[in-house]
Amino acid sequence: MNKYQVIVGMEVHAELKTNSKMFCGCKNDPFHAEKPNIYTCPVCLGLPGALPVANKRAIEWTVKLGLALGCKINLFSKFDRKHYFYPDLPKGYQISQYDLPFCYSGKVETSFGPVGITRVHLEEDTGKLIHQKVNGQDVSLIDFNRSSVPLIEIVTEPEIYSSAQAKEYAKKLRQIIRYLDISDCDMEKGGMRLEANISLQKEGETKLPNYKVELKNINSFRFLERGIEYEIERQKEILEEGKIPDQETRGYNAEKNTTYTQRSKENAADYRYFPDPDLPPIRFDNKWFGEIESTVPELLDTVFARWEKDYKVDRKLTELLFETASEAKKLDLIFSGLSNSKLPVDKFVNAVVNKKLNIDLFNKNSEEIVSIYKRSVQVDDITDEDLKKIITKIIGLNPKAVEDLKAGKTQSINFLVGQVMREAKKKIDFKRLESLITSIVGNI
Amino acid sequence: MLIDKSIKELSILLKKKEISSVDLVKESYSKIEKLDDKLHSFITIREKKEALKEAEKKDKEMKDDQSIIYGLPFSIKDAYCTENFRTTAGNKILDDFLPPYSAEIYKKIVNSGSILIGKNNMDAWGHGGSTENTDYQPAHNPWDLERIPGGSSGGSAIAISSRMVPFSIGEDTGGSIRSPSSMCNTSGLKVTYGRVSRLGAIAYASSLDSVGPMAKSAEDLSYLLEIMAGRDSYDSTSSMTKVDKYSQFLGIPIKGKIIGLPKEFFGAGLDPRVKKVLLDATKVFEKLGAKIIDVNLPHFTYGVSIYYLIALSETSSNLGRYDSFRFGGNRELFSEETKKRILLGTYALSAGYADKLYKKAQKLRTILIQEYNEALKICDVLLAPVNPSLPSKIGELINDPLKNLMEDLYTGTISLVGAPSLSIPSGFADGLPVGMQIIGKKFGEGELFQLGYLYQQETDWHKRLPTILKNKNE
Amino acid sequence: MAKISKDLIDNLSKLAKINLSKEQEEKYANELSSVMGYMEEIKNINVENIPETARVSDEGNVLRDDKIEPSLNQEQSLKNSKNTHNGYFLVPQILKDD
Repeated sequence: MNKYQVIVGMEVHAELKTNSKMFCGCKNDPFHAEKPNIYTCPVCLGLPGALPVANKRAIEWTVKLGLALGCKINLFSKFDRKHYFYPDLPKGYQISQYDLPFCYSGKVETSFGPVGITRVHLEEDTGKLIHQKVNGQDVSLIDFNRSSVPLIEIVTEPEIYSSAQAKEYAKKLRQIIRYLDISDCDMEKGGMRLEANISLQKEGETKLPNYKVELKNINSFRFLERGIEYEIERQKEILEEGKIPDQETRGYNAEKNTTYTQRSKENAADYRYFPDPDLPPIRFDNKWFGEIESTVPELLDTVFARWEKDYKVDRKLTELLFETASEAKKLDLIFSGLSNSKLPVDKFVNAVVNKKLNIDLFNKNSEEIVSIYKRSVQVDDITDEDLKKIITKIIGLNPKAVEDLKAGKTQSINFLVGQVMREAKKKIDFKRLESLITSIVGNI
Repeated sequence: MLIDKSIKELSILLKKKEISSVDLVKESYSKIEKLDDKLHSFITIREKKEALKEAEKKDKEMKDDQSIIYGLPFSIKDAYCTENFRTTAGNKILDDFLPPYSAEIYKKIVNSGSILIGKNNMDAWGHGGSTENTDYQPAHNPWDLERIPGGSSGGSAIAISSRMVPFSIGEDTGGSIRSPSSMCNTSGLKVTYGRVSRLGAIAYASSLDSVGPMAKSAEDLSYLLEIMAGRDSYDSTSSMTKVDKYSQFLGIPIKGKIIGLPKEFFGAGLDPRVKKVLLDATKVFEKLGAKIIDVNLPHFTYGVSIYYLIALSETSSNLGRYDSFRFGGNRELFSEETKKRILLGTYALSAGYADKLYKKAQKLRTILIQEYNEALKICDVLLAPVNPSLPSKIGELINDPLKNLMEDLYTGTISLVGAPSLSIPSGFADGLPVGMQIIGKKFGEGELFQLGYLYQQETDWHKRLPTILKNKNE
Repeated sequence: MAKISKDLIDNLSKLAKINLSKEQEEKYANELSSVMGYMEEIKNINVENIPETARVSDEGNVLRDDKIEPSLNQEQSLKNSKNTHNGYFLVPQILKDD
């Protein structure tokens, strides 16, 4: 049995949460629309004579994401027409980007290594098809509320080498996109869609495999992981037989935990791309580019690294506290406020994550939050002098505990601390008591 | 015959209340009733009662400061969406299409107070130069009923030529305003690409389509363009260049103007009868003080190929939306001519061929633009024929694919450059009208009107009435 | 002379979603071959280092602010369709295989 290495490249689509659609002013809210076909107009319905006008904010957000992913930006870019027939594609072509995407050559770090981002481009979404039976006939119903919603596409190099890495990549990408606050990436609503191109490379081979299987319509990270794992086994079997897996599109069946054929890809679609003559090219001059650049917040990885260094807080916990960049900025204020008041940030984070401290982090100002936390861990005021008196008393009353402590039984310190606090009838900082008791006992 | 008067004259008479809008609309319908079943200028005619009612309203509200076209009847090529009023683009796919919105240019004309009489016949989707490729009866030339009126805006040219309306809005992609204007002895303007909004104009080739006025004279066109031109923020290709007061160019002498004759347009492909008319026309310009020189546009001989590779690619793309799901009928309803064009366009864009065909044509287009700009460094405008020969008999062109293509040699090439071109009557040969193009710098329509106006003061070709009107007393 | 074969016409007609009869395929193959044969005249023109012109208007950066504008209402959107159902456009079931 040969050994194989899985090679995965991913394509992720995310719906941008602009107010209006990509090429017209219709409302961009397909998921919450009360009825079908109410946010439509001649442009997004593809009526005769209609013309597109590009949404500036959608373009800016695409560049913003590209910059956040470390991409280079094409300062001269354009939209192209991608032709194919499908009922949910009203013009018979999708306005997309072909050879001059807004962003290219970026990178996302994962714990397994970096994943190269080939490109980030902007295109329009299609309408939605629902398959149903009407009057006994199998039909498809089309709703164009989603037609022409701005869609960002992020394509990776084939540099993902395990299902776990794929999952981590997808999760991290989602985190970054939500951090930038340009898309909700709600997978259940179709706000974020995952696709994976999967092939197996024989161990020792350096060339990329000469086939790939596309896994589409995955709407959860778990399904992504499982789907890839199933594919690895399925493709392994075929390769072991000396055959090559069919180049095709497959879907994932969650119930059975299998993948299945959706569409054969042997004849690569001929999309007949050409630059859309209805749309002028886009040129970023220094001024505009600078404006967009200034909207890119401190990158997530940098923020986490900084917090780890300054406040000793674990990324795995802090990332549970916030999503967007503006929320991160708020946290920054809270953390520095805590730190300035000599309060332990790591304990604060722990308390919030474990719900020991129920606090709305983003609707109160940071001073309030610091003082709330302070009060919750309040240690009473008591002078060292008075404390020493009490400690001396307690030591006197508990010779066995003192002996145990001197003998190295560190548990006794807890007992002694508790006794001191009971005597003092106050809550006193544990570390403070520990050090005082230890030094006094040490001097006996 | 009121509609024989110029737009300016009609406007003055209306505002003086010496004639009424109702008079004009009545004359319009009367002409149509008498002539249109021979000519087939119209696909859809508006209900007379409705148009008259509107005319009455215009008469009531007629004031001196109203637009120059206030109260005038007009027609529009059926390529323009008119809200809730049938729009077919000449093909049965859209036989019952009622657009939920109106083209920008239609709104502009109507907001200036003109009254729509009907939608004009055309080669479907703009595909043709003879108004034979239509599902609504081939159209006939008012000068000779057995001949084509040119196309694709043939219906519009017929309506003006036979004095059904004082002006019409046509559309020119590769000659579709200029060619029928020439064949019907009327005046028409292909504007600089982007001068007039394309919003609501059913697309043929998006990088070539130009919305333009058609009327009896350059003077009329200048007034129309003042109203039509301007930026539309909903058309991303519409230009921000300032709109001139075009009528101010009328009457300015042209002494010293240099007119270039492109050698490539006066070569072997040109019918000697047409050539003679054009050369006679140059004498008029010389008399008016202009100088005639020869210029070279070497790659323009490849113009037809370059034009068609681009136009057909774009049209194959633009016609993809006709899938019958949201509106209209089945793709089976495309005519043979249209199907062939779609297939050719698909071929030119398809993988494996696109580099040699579509992309190469786009590169050649760059060369054409360079050569054109070079030529306009040594002259002010170009003068060229419109069609290589006289209007063909109905049935000749459409059955000869290559001959059909070659009709666009002098016009398609200019479209590729995006330059403006004025087509005006320049004489007759064997009793048939011959038009000429005056072609200018981009956004230089004013200069075209300047030249056209003076030519039309010196000559009266444009005033002559077509045969069909001479048999009927009006 | 460019030869556009019946097979090619067949492929093109699928790409363009234009149904043709066998006779039509044959006829078109001939006609389109002669048209393409004519257009082959551009084959030998040197266009090295010449950029493509995709548009002759080049206003550059024509963009729209992200503002919501009125849409058509549902009735207007559906009005011209021959087949609708409960506010949706209705089409016969699309085969999974496209």
